[in-house]
Amino acid sequence: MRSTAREDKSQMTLTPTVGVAENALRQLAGEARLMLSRRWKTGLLALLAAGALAAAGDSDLEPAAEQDWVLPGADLFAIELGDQRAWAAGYWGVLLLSEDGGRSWRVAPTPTSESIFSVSFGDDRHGFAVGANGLVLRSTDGGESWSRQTVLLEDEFGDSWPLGTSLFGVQAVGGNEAWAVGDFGVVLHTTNGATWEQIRFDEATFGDDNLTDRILNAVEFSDRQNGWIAGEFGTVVRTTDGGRSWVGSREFEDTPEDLYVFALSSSEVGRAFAVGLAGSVLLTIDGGQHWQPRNVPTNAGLYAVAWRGDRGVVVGDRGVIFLTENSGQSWREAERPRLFSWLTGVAFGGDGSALAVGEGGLILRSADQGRSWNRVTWRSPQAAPLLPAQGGENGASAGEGP
Amino acid sequence: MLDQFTLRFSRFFIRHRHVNLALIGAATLFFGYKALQLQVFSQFIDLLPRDHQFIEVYEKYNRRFGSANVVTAAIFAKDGTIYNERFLEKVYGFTDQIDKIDGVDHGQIVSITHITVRDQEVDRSGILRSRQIVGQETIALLEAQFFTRRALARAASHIGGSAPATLDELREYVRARSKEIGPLTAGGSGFAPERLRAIRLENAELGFLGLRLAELPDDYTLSGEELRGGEGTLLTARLIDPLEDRIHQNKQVYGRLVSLDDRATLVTAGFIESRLDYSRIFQELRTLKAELEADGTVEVHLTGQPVLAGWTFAFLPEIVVILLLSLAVLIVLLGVYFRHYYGVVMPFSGAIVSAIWGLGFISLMGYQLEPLVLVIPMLITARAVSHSVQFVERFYEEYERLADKEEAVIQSMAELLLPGTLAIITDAFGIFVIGVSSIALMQKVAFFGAFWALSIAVTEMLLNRLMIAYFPAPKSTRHYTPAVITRLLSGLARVATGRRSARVVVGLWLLLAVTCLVFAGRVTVGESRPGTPILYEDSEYNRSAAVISERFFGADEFQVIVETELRGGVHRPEVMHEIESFQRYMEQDPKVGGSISIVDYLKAITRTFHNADPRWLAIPYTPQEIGGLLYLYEASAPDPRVLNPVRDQEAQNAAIRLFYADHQGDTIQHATERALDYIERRPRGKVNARLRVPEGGLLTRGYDLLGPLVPPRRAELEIFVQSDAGAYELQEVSRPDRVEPAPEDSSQRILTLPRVTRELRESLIEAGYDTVQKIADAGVEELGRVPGYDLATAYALIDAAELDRRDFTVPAEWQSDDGRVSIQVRKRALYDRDELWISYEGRDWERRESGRWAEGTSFALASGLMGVLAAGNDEVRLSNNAIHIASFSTVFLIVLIFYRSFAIALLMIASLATAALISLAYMYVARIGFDVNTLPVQALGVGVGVDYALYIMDRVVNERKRGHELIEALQIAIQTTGMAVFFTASTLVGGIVFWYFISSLRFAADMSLLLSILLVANMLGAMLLIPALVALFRPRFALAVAQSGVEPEQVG
Repeated sequence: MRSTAREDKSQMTLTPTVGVAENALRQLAGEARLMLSRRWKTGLLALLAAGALAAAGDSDLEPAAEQDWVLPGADLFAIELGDQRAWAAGYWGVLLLSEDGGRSWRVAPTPTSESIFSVSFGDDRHGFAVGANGLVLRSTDGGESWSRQTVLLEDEFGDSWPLGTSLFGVQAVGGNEAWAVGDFGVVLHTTNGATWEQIRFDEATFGDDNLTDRILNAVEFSDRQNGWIAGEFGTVVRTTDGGRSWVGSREFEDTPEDLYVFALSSSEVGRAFAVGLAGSVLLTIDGGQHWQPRNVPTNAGLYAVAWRGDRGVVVGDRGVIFLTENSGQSWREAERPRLFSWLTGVAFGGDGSALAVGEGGLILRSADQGRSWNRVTWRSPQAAPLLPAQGGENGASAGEGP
Repeated sequence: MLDQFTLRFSRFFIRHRHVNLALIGAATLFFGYKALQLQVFSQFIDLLPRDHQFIEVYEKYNRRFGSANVVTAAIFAKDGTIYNERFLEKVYGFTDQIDKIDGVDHGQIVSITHITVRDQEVDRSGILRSRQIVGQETIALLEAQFFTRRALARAASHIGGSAPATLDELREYVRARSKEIGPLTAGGSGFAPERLRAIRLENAELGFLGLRLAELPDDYTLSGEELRGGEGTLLTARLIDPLEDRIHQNKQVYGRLVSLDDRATLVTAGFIESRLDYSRIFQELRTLKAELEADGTVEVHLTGQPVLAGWTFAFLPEIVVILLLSLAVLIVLLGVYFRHYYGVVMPFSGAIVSAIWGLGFISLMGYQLEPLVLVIPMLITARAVSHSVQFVERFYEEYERLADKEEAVIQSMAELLLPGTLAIITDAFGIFVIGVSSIALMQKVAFFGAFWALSIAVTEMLLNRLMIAYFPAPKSTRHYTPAVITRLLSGLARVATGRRSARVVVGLWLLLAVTCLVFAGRVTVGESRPGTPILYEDSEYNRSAAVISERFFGADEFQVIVETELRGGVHRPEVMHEIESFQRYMEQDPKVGGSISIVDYLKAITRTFHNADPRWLAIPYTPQEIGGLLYLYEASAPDPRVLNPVRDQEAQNAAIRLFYADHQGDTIQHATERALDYIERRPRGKVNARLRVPEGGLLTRGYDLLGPLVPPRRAELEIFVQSDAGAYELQEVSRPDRVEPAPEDSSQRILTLPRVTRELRESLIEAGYDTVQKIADAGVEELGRVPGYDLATAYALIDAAELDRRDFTVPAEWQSDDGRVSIQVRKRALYDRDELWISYEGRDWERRESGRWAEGTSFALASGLMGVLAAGNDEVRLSNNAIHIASFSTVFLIVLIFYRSFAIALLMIASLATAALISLAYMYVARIGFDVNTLPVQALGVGVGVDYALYIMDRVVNERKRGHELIEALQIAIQTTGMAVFFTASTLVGGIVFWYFISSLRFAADMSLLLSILLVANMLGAMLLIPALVALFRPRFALAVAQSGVEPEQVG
């Protein structure tokens, strides 16, 4: 177009009359265009003036209210299965509740938008949930309602600080007693369900750092006395006296020292499965004296394990689900829908059912002790997207309870 | 009195025929010269309603987050999956080559082999590394092999047979060849430009290959087509096998770029929004496709705006052939009717001369012709023919009566001068009002269409008469009228005027109108089927679109822009949370196939940093952590632009990209409504401001009807502030209504002008327009020459700059107690929307195009193809009614003024309205939606029959003046003028209806049927409905028999 414009100019000098006419026309056209775009409309307005009575505006902006709305499609990290009740929880404080063994789900409101990483119930009514940023939730009504607990830690100067690190695992042993573990080697214990005390490992056994330099991912107690804690750098510690003393257990065979353990499951005293990065599964039958690698044919990260009797299930990245029916002697892939979402939680129920949860709110259910799995569809209530608004610099939710 | 004037004018005109002919001839020569410079191309910008707030947002952000001009290519493996060397090499090749097409935005290429598609890992030393999804090593090998293949193909053509067969020979060849052609690239060696281009390209590729050769294993063998590594394949299992897992785990790739069945992959390329040579892009894409498909292992599907434009250009020759065919059919039909060359030559000479004027005018204005707009000239030509036929028919009548050629010319000219001119003026006005829309294409059509239509007044009304004066008189005074038609017309006349039959006619017509009314309201706006309505369902383009939307999450993008006040604002955790919750909310819609935002990247990076533990798919708690992680990711990529598709470099703005399976009108409306609903109902931050146009009530409906005709409604400024308790409270705003002077001028201010992007600002400043004042003072022509502008956009820019320099009123304003935030509504002129201006923490005033602001995170709609189309659909929806109302009221007013009869004006409208209703009903039944292309055709088509009715009415009035009874006058009018109407209508229908059967463009087929229906409806309206109404209701004009003084004139 620019080139034509240039040609126009040369032509103008050749034939001045044409040029003048052309300019006049363009001028006219330009005027008309402007008229078209604005002034002309103004003129037409006079013709069509319909009375510009301003209508009174009414507001439909509702003030932000706390709603039992969850982030749709939120990732689920944790699953716990009771007799018929089941609890799944995850990102953004989402907590789902089932009363029919995981066939149908509804949302239970939680006073937080922090992620929940682990849920554990001591009985059908009393349970705990822990998560990011020092989150500890407690329910005494089977998960219908939750209250937030503040965990105060004492530093070496005797000052108290609210816990700010993430907790990755919680295990309730009875209605009021529970264990929780998390980042920076934090291990917490409560016996009354309300106040938490921090367990410090003695330096003689565990060195200068008392495990405080590592992430602890899993805590598993098969009864009040016998428990395991596992985490980063192949950390596995065990107690046989309800937490009064701890022994480390790091003699893994044919496994790198820095094995990253995501989860641990113990079916009976002295026996445990630990699973972790890059498809590693380890089994001990002698209370952690020796760990034998179990060959699971995958290199996917394994994030959760459930073990009951001879039967074990591990789940992990890319939706892998492996099943053993002989305490880990042999593994095979379970039947499952074609999916590539990660799974971070798995649990056995009493009646041969099993549940697994993961990415994007995915819930899988098995009715045949883990052999085959099907997707459970549930809909989050598509209520108004009114969240408690974020306020303040630290991103704390204004809707959080005390 | 008017009659006397027309007669005197006609006499005068014919007497000075030589001078007049010379004048018309000179003008025609001038326009003819201009018409030769006419260009045919498409401009994407023309399809956008430039005043729409979505477009303002789009124009502000499209260079950063991607334009709507995106080519989407899907490469399908015919057997097996995509995870093999052969397929990946093809994908690599396609990606590489598409990046070399002129006009492509290099930052907007997305493909699994492209550098910006990455994932990340933390190595053993804890350092975050982002890596290309297919792997660095794989890419290097693919590169080496791809360019080896190209070099070998070239070598075969250069040296015939002795192509290098081993790696060493290849190295030697590359060295030698580089040396050979290297010096030639300097130019000046007398090569043709294409040849030089080819040489330069080859040289560049050889240089690249030279670097890459080191990647190839030593046991690499070359034998013709077969290129092999040591294990038989170049890419070993070690490289290929992990690929599938990595892709399956990557949410940004699996489902979006790689189909769920692993058999296809998507490559998209965005193009820069300036004047694109669509046909060249299309040609190059087709060549690429052919190259890829040559060995029969893959299938390539191409869609996207540039491809669509390319297809319509590909059909341009066909359109031209069909138009010529139409002309031929017209000639034959006219010949059959008239059996005399007058009947053919007159209409055609006039039509051609007016076409020359029209085309010349288009080029004069610096407009271009687009293939799809070609239907409109056809429509205008149809009118030209119609006027001419009326004249020839009337001339014959007068000639029969007077037997004197010159007197017959003068008489017939005088009689038709009033209705003809009126018809032309109303036509022109009817076209002109299409320009109320802010879509440039429609404004251009309005403008040149109106001129073209007006030119008919000269070419047909005047030139025709002159030509007859020069031509020899017809031998016989009796002119040929086909007996069938005469009988038919007298039958029609009886039906229309019969006491009972007239009632039946009116009754039937009412019934038809009511039936059509039911459907008329249901015509969709936007596209009513997946794919494009321009082409047939089984066209290659639409089949490709269907396949892509079936196999992938979706290729049609809806972009919501996230705006923050400060640099780095996007890195604040609360902003990230806002983005995420909005994105998740939108994703819940089943129509959304997938989405991407900065949050997805951030969470994936955080996870990677923590042993890939999914529980760390979280947003860190401080801006420092967030910024740090993203910086690590960017720094570990070889190209720092890796985050550009979702976040700008300053981290002040971000884009949430949502992908939909199609861009039908309903899908788009659904998407925008869902997004707006969320934004409206969820306040964010401490302070929320919005401009709210009151909804509901009669007034709103009135606005919906009149659309762009009336000034936009005054928006209320609403401010909500969050109290300490967390609730939002509506604030009192002050309404000063004071006038403020324009702010100080600077080059920075240019950016606040609507539609000025950073890039356009650069080119303006480069051209010397470094202040708003200079732009306001600029000449349209000079400004039109600035890169990125043309005459049309230059007008708009000057307009905007003029406004910007003017004082503005402040209808409402608000300031927070602590002075942190100041908010103003600014009002420029009557027809400008209220603007929302924010001054945050004492910074310069900034305009918020979206009319919304929330402290911290504002969401602005909308960019991407869907956002742009949403704006277009909005505009079409609003203009649609407005255009009809405006055109009907102008017809009404013009007829009222000239005939001084409400009755005639009402009759006109009755006829027009039924035609409009019928066309709408047809559009509903045929599932044609209103869009930028169909609206002008429909609007013009409705008016195509104004002249029929006018000619008939005029004849009735004249016959009454001559002393005939009303019924008699009606019958005469139908049999004489009606004859011409029938000729025209049937000729034109004959001329276009066959498009329906032969056109490869569904658009042309749809339009041919639409226009045919409109022509027939208008013809029947003029010949049956209007006479029947007149016969029934006997309006005053029809009863008033002319007084003396008219009769003698008729004889004299």
